[in-house]
Amino acid sequence: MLSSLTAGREDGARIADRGEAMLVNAAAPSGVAPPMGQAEFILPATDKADTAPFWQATREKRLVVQRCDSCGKTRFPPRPHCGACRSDKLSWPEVSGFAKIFSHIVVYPPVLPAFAKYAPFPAVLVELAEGKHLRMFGNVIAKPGDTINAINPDSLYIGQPVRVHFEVLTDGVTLPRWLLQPEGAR
Amino acid sequence: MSVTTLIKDRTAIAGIGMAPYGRGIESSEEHLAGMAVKQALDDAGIDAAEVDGLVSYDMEVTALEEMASNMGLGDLRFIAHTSCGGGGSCAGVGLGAMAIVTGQADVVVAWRSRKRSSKESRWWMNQPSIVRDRQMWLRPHGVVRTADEIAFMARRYMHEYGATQDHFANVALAFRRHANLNPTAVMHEKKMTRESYHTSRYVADPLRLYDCCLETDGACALVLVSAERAKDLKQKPVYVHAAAQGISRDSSIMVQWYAEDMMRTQAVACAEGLWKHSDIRPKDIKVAEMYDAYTPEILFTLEGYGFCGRGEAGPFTDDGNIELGGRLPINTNGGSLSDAYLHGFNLVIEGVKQMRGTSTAQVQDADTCFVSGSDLVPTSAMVLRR
Ligand SMILES: [Zn+2]
Repeated sequence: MLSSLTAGREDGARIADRGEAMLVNAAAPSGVAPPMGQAEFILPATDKADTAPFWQATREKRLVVQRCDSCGKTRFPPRPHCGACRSDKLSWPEVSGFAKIFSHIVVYPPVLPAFAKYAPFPAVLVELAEGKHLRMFGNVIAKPGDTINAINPDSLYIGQPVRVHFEVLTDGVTLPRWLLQPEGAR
Repeated sequence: MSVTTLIKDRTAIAGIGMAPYGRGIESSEEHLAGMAVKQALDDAGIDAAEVDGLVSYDMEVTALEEMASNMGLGDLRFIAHTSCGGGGSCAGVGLGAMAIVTGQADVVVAWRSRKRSSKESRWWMNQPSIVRDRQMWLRPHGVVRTADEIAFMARRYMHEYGATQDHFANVALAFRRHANLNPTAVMHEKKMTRESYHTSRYVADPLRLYDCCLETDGACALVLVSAERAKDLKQKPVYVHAAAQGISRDSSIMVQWYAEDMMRTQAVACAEGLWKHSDIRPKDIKVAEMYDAYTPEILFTLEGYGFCGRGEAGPFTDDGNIELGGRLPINTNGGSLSDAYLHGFNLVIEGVKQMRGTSTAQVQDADTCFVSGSDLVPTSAMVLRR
């Protein structure tokens, strides 16, 4: 009864049919990626040219975005070109890691096996202190080491201050999590 | 562009077909698709060999050339796939109208067939667990299903404009009541009350089960011809008055998270193109068939196309306004929420029925109908008239 949609998604399934799911990826614990329905972790590919520097930075416990070296505009998610001036000259400056919750949900079952032991759990979209155009998805925690379902979701609110925390998931993948900050934090 | 290339009222939907909708249907998607196309051709009274244009969705399982062979169509001169799943529902008609008006084709068939009722068909179970595209910014955090994505939009919208779950309930209840009038709707016999809505389980808080569309099997199809040709055919012509597609600036699929203004959905770009070419204005629309994978999409669509001002769509759903007998009845077949989930093509078919006067929730004297695809993906919309 779960709802569905749309392009990209089923296209992705077609790609999987062609065997791309079996691509060896340095980030995968076993070296081979099973389909989502069977995987222990859902991981980002860390070896793609346009996005690898982000994941390299999180492994070094730094949060970065892209900045256009021609016009100076920052952007996230990463893209090969700057939508403001079309330049492909870019760098990856570190940001403060301070953010505010822009929207939040609670994910209820049925979910993928990788998340089944946590559901229901909250997920957030945060807006970075560096600008309204810089938003990232993630999970919230009250203290380092917490699981993603440790927080009471009813305590979350839009505008709530958070700060990045880095969670080492596998040898290759470190995910940014969002650590709740005391009210009045920037 | 010379005026003579405008599509306004120059093509008409002359035939419609619906394969059975339901759950656990045994026929293949390809088989269902053929049933719908065959029925649409019979409905129009047009020989399959006359079909020279064919359009379907980018996600359609049956290839265009296979459909052509299955139905014994003639040589095809216009073929196309529409963009982005449920966004493309009206695009098939719009592209077909362009093809006919510009002489590329004379008889265009468009269809959609889906089998989604089985649990094994959930797309997300079979995705690679290492995410290589832009979903890498969502999926590792457990934001996997489209319900999760729309829930982010819904929460933010509620926060900014004071919309409530009661407004979402208005949508779910209205469409269920329409489905209760429609014998072919999957939820025809199932009643919904405000209490059953509010006690249905959460899928992605703030969205409950009854905020989410059905997962069903089925297919539907239509035949499009020139307005001139339609006059001589079996059915009363339903004219394509205006049709448009759109991708709004800085938009993304589902959660509009790149855009500073999250509520500037794909509908904004599409609406500009649609109303530019339409003599019929939002206030003149008598009935609407709007894409409803999730209840909040109806609110976003009402605002995106100018039926309501920004933030006003929640209260607009009060007082039965969107039900049969109200100011703007929406999804009179039950919609994706209560009729069937066919990527919005069943909404196109319902629009045609309203203009023919044959809907099971017929709006009295309805002579204009608005139809839209999903406003959270690259989208399309149209205005039909009789
Ligand atoms: Zn630039």
